[in-house]
Amino acid sequence: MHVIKTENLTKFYGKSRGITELSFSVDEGDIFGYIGPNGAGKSTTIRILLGLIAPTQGKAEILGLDCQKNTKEILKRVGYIPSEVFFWDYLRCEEVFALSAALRKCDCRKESQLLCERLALDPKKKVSELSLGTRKKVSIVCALQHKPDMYILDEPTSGLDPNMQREFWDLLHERNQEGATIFLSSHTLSEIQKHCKTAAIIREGTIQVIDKVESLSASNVKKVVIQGLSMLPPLQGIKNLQYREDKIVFLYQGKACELIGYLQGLPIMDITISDPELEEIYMHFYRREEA
Amino acid sequence: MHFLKHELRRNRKTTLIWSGAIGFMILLSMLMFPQMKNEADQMTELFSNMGIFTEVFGMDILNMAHALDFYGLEAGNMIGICGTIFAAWISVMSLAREEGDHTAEFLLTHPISRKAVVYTKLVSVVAAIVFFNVFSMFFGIFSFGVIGESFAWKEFLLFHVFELWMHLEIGCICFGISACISKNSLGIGIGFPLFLYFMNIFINISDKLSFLKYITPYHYAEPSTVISGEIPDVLPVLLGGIYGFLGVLTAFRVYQRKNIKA
Repeated sequence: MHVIKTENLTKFYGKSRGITELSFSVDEGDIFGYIGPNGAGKSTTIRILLGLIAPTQGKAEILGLDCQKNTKEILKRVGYIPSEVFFWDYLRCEEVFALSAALRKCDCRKESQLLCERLALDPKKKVSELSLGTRKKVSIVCALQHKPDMYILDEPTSGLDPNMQREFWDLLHERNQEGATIFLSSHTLSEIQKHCKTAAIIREGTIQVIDKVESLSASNVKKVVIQGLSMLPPLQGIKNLQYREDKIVFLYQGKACELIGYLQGLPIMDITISDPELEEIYMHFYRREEA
Repeated sequence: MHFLKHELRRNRKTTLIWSGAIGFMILLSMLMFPQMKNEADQMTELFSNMGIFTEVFGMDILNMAHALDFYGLEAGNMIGICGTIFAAWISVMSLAREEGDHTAEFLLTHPISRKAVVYTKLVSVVAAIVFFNVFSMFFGIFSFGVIGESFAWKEFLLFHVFELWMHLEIGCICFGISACISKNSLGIGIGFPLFLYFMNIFINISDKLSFLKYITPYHYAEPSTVISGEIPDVLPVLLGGIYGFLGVLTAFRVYQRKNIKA
């Protein structure tokens, strides 16, 4: 079952592009990574999914409900962590949790207490006294305390220290094991690679690729590092060619036998052929015009 | 209900400060009345010889030797001008400040309809305006008690009812504006009431501009008219209600379709 489904989702802000004809789906129980540079359209997608903005054209559904027409029903079952967190400054953390729970018409006191303990958060503190990281913790409690079916997370770990990031991921994996679906937008590609099952790469408002993270990492793109050469003869399939001191580094997409044939006879001192990091694949897609 | 409590709490400090300040100013002005009363003849002569200002501020109609007339002039200006600025300010920032303070994203990603947000904020704004007016009225009554003067209840209450109506009208129009903007706008909160106030001054200066009475609420709420026992024209009062209603309608229609800024 698709928990999120978009069809030709397009958003223009006046003449400037937000996203164009975005079509993708997220399966139930998935941890879906959404990767792209600033201005790629990640936040625009999330804001349409949450009903904060209307698409110029196209359709978005969450849990089988239309994001524009059934926003209230959807939001009952969604927990959201924004990239930048703002609350009403005069409230205490526990008042923010109470207000959030009241807006959801549920009693989440036990769960919020439990989450505060795990995240080492003092619920008595005033929001105005909190650091960026602690505000993020408040946002995490608000998103998790009602145990929703779906989590939409926009850069959720920014501002959190490594220990808290670990605790946060533990929490999310627990929720995922209980059946929740997670949609995660992040710049931190190692995070996506480590925690997500599926990933989509978005660039300039359009999705470049959607695949299982394992498949993306193990695509037929190889990272080649060669020592002993000062110049490399041209070969089709080479991307992101870099000359670094005594090394030549590039990504190769093509048949392995053609690469080996091409390298034969060259005065190579050392060579490493490995699977690239997801980050490198992302950069490869992002910088494909420059390669 | 929880959100309404939150909104009321949010407006509480501002409302108490404005109400307390205006109430205190009314008391201070009325404490000057006994001395003014003793010099009533000189004052009346002085006020009647101020040329155009005499008509502009209705001093040709009000008798400064009468406590209620004095109250109408002094408190009328304070409640009239400061009260409308308060009503406009608290209304214009009501919806807009959620976007200005970036809290709209938190609020609107909870299962609460935009209609409910507008409705709740409208109730909290109206509650603040009503509280301000009732508080000012009680301070007025208290002031009369302190200086030991009696007053005509009918005219006194009528004066406060028209002030309240004017504040609600301006508040509702600014509430509609609030849905259309995305930042706190102190400029509109101060500028809009003053613009309407000066419009009324122009009416008092020139008969040719009398059509403006269908636009500015200051005309129907003018203390010199209400306290002297005259009943203001019904049409401007009704039009005021319609303008306010249109402001509220705008808020509901615009906010439900609005793209919320990050």
